[in-house]
Amino acid sequence: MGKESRVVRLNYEFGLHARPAAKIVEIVSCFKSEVCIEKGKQQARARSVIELLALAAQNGERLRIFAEGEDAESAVEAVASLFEHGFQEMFGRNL
Amino acid sequence: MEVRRGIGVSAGIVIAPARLLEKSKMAPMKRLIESGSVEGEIKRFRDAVTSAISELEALRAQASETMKPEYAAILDFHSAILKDPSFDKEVGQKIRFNKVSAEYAVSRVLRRYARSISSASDELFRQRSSDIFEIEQRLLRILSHEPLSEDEPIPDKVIFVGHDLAPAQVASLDKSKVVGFVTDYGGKTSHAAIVARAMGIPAVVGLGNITQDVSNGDMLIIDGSKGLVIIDPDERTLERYKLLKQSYEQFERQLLLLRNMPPETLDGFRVQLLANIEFQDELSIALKNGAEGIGLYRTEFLFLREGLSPDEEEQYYAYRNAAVLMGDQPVVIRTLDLGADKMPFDGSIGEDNPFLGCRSIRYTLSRPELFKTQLRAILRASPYGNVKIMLPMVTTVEEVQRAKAFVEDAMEELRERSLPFNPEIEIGVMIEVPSAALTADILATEAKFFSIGTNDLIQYTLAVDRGNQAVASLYQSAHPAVLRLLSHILEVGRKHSIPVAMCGEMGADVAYVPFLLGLGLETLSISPQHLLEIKKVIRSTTLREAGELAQRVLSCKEASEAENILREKVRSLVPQLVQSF
Repeated sequence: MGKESRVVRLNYEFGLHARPAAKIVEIVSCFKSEVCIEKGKQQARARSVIELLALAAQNGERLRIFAEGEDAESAVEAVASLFEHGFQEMFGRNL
Repeated sequence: MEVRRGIGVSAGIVIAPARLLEKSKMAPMKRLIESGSVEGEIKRFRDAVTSAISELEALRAQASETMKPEYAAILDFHSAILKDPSFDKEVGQKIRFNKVSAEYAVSRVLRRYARSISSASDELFRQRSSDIFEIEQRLLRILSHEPLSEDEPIPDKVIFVGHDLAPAQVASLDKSKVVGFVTDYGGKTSHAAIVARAMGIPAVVGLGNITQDVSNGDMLIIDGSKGLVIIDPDERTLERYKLLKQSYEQFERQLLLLRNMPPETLDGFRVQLLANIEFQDELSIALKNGAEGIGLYRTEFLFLREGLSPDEEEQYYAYRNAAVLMGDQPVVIRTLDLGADKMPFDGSIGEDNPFLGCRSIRYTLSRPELFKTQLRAILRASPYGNVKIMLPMVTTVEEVQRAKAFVEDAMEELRERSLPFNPEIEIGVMIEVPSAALTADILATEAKFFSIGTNDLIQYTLAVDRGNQAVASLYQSAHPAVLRLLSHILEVGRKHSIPVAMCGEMGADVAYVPFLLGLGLETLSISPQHLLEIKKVIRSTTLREAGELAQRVLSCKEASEAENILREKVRSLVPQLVQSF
């Protein structure tokens, strides 16, 4: 069982809300690992759009992605790339 | 019977059953279940979730057909919540361990989510918490086996009861059946108030929580003049109000006699009295009440109705209709006066401070296609009457120059299509920001006419959000700063021979009319059902005494002092008017 974590900075001007959160859930469902996202002491399971929303992460905020499972490394990689530029490319200025 | 006091924003009396605009947002009652029913209750919950998801998927399919990506995204978000494993788990646990009904468990869990989201500082997150309420309402509806009926037909003649009235809601109302408005929020100049006055129906706003106290079908009396709403009136009250309604309507009939008389002071000063309209059906009220043209044609409704920009043809027909009906009389069409925040599905929302953001002329200048489409539609309507273009929220002369360049482009495009238009069409600006008022002499070099928009002018001069109850009392129309700006604008107009009109709410306030005439205002544009009472005021005063009044009021140091002088004056001029309103 692999474990993997990485600290990323959210690069999406509108912050982590409905659409990006739904996107994370969608991406994570392709992996077998359990993936969590931490903002300070707050933790959210990446399979729960509600928990992700409750983080209320804003543009530029530092978040930690944490995965445990056989494909932990690629799961972290996929989620991290969303945070770093994926949302901006996918949604642009559209909410 | 229960009497509630709010802010009367549109006069008149009406007696009719209530109709709630939104389903009640009341949380379901706590209901305990037997231990043996736990599994069945969880199954009820899961079945409801499955039905809700299939409803959403059906809506989603429609949304992608009609190309509404933003709406589709909202539906996706609702689905994502319903499919969320922690939602399933938490509701299941609540039912199992607390032995409560599925309804109660769903509501508790979702309301907790809504709270955790709405405590976020960001406005966009807070908006999402209203999505959670929508999900709650959908599940509760399914659990109670109510059929899906979001647009039930309205029975005859109802009073609308709602939290507030959003422009988009107003645009979709069946106005032939609404005889009054009653809302929880809002003030004198909120959208519900403006619409009610425009429609000539009584309205009381700012009632706090009337939506909680009224159910569909409850009999209501609105006394718009006193700001009262009576829920479920007793026999005696009902009789008394039927009589009051009669005498009120009698006074209205007396006013109707003024219809064909000129708006002229006792000493022969002729005023031009125009109407502000938004909806097509207001054109007929304007004509019926003797309007001499349209001084403000608001075009926003065209843009809010479907959520998609109206095409050139649709706009052209609306504008042409007004031009034809008014004949030689002016029809001043204001270009789109909305902020990006109000444009459904525009996709560029997210301004921290929309009132100081990309709105009105700033918005249209940044959306060349949308702007030019509107300008082409206006230009195409121009040969059918006396059509003029008015630019809202101008702050610099450069904006006027750029807008005029767009008008040139639009003309060129019409020439290429061999379509007729009036190449001499007049372009004027609204003066509704202090910077425009103070540089009116500079704007005069590019504008053919001015029209003063008092609502925004007051809000921007006094830095007061008129919808914010905490500071609403600072929204003083008679503040010396406001009165001085008005005097300044009219002086510049005289010096540069630019006609100045007023299309703001102030012009429809009986108390301000003598003062405005005294400042030299010659054109008033007001909502159609105020035309007759304003005409009555004009015909009851002389320009000489109005001039003296203006000087006295301009020297006041406080708004309350000025306001008292104005009210006192109009009471001496037209006592019936003040008594009955």
